[in-house]
Amino acid sequence: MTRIAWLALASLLPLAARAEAPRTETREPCHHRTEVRQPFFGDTHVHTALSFDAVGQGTRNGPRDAYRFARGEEVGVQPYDEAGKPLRTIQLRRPLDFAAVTDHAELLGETRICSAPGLPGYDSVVCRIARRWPWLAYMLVNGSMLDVKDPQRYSFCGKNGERCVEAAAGPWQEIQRAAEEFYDRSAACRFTPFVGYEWSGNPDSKMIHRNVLFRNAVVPARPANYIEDRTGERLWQRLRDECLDAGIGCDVLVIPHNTNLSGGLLFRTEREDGAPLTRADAELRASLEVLLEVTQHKGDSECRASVSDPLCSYEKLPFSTMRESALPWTWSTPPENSFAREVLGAGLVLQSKLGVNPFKLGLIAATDTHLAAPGLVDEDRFIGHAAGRSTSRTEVPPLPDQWWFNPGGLAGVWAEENSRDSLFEAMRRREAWGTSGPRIVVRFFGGFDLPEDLCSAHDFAAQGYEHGVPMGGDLSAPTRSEAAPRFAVWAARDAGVGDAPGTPLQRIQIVKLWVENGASREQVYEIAGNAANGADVDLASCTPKGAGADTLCSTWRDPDFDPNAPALYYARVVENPSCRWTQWACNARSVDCSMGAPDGLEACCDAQVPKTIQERAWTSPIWWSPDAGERRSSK
Amino acid sequence: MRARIASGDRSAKGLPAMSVRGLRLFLWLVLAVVLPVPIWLLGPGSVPALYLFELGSVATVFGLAEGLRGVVGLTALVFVGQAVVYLALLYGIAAVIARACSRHPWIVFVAAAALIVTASVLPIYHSPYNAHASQVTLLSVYP
Repeated sequence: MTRIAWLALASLLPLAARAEAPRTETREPCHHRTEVRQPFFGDTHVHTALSFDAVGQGTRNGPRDAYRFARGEEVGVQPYDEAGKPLRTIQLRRPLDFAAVTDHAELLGETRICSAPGLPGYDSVVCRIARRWPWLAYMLVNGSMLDVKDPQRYSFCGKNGERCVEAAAGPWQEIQRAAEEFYDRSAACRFTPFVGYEWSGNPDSKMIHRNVLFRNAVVPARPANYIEDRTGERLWQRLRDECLDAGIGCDVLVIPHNTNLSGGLLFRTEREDGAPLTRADAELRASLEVLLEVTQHKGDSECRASVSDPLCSYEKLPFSTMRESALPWTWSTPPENSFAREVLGAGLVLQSKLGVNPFKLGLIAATDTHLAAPGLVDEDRFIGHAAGRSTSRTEVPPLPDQWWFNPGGLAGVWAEENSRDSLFEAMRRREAWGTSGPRIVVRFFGGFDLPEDLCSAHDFAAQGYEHGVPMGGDLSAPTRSEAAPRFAVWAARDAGVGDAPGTPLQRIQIVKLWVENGASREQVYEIAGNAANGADVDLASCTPKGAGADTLCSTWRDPDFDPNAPALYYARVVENPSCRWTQWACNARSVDCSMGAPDGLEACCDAQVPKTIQERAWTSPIWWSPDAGERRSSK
Repeated sequence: MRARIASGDRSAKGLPAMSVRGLRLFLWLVLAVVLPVPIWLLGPGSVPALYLFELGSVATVFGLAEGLRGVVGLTALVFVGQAVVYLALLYGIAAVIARACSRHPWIVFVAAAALIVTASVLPIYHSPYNAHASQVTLLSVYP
């Protein structure tokens, strides 16, 4: 079923009674609004020329260009000729519904100073190096400012770094202006930008990065950054003080990303100072961190590659920190709590101890583009995302990126309409999903009273809301004698466009995590489709072969449900195999491995580089807590 | 080793007198400044060994100006280290050639001139570290 058909069906459905999202801004109501919610796709992780590392890679496009691109316009990108004309252009096949420019907060001022003649500091050693040896500066600045535990402002920033802090005001306002300019406040509701930034802590090259997204145009005077606030705890407290509790109408949420490169530090099960977590700590974190970016340009973070779940080998990086990436003999395996599944499981265990789950995270995906190109996720048109190690600043490399990176994914959101309030509320309640790129639409409901034949109902969503909870929600205790919750998953393939049809679906799985003897356990259940459907892809032409499904739907009851064990369930929707971006690039260059790999295209003939992938979508989980039964009893 | 190059051969070509040591030094400098060598680490690319030394020096200056925090020292070391290894290798090559051509130094001079001219005309260097172009000539490889 296409998205349009789905929307048409949805509009005919009886309206389910749900609380209206509070409106915090002045705007026209959207023409297209439905109480059973619509799917919207966007990118919540976008860097532009305001980020130091993007400039080092030759990116010149700013926030306005990023939003132009997200709306479907063609934009030019590096490399540029001597006259400043871009030598390449890019354009989305389909515009996005929403996007957020999230430039690094840390060097906003420094980047501005180094690029603006006349500003004090422009002629400093650091700025001179940045202009004459941009890629070297990329390494040195990242390596001395962001990859350390105790970052210090550069000397050209003046006393207490005031000069750079002051200079950061300009780009921060530019980000806000661009978001406002491109926000469609008309009833057409075509596009929604969010004001945001990235807090980019990287102690010892272990990524503890978080994207910060604001609900509306009311934002703090300046973004928090790792130089001044060096821990997640400090970031959350600052956001509470300067936004949520400031009484100015500010609202915010935080999206951690790249657990795969965090060295386990992003989701520690203790405080930053090593003290045990308290209930208050868990509540503070849970109030802000509601979503996790499960996949992006720098790899997939869903689960650790394992024999028991072969699909977890999807887009795994061969190293565990970005520093290691430059030194192959140092490549290592990520430690515990480096993947979403481990983190979600740890959250269940902590909930048993603290009464609050600090890691109650929905799942979305994004690009982390450093080309100011939100939503540029097509495998067949990947030109790299300029996130380091492979630069297209001065020339287009034969292979557009390091083979271990990928085009990144998209965030999907179920919201009543395409407005900031509606989308933000959807993200906050975790009614969101991530895709590895294709616009797979997926609905996921759970409940003890969910009808077994829900898939044949014409009002799937309305009944799902009425008898259960959507993705991101908490199961209520059973009202009747059902011993186990039932789940319903409906998914539609990406229909694609014109010359780029989407790939059929292969199957749907439900991943269950639960606590047993104080430890997290996991189990993957096949609930729809067929893993052995024989689908394949012709590597020479990248044409898919074999049968698949346009839509899949199934209900499933947990056969091993233990009401006394905290648990969560999320759905994974998997496409038939398709060509990975490296295969597309190698085909485009007619690489013949029997003749030996050409320079720069060694990955084309490297056995460890996958030739195919299975694109996918991950829903946010639905949680079960034994407290739910107690809560109902006490009521 | 210190013997002068044969006077008959020298006078025939009208070249100045030069010891083997001088010839070796001359050749080594030319190779260090002009000959493209692959970047082992923090590449890819092919640049003169002296350029790697330059990058290491820039990283060192950065570290001296702002402190050797994080990987700044390591980055400087990687570049300087590569440069030192290459310079040692090129010194050995220069020594072998100088000795082999000690009776016909004009070969060295002509080859060196050809190398310099070629490198000045053709973009034989490839460096991601240059600000404006990756494929560059000798005239623009050193920013």
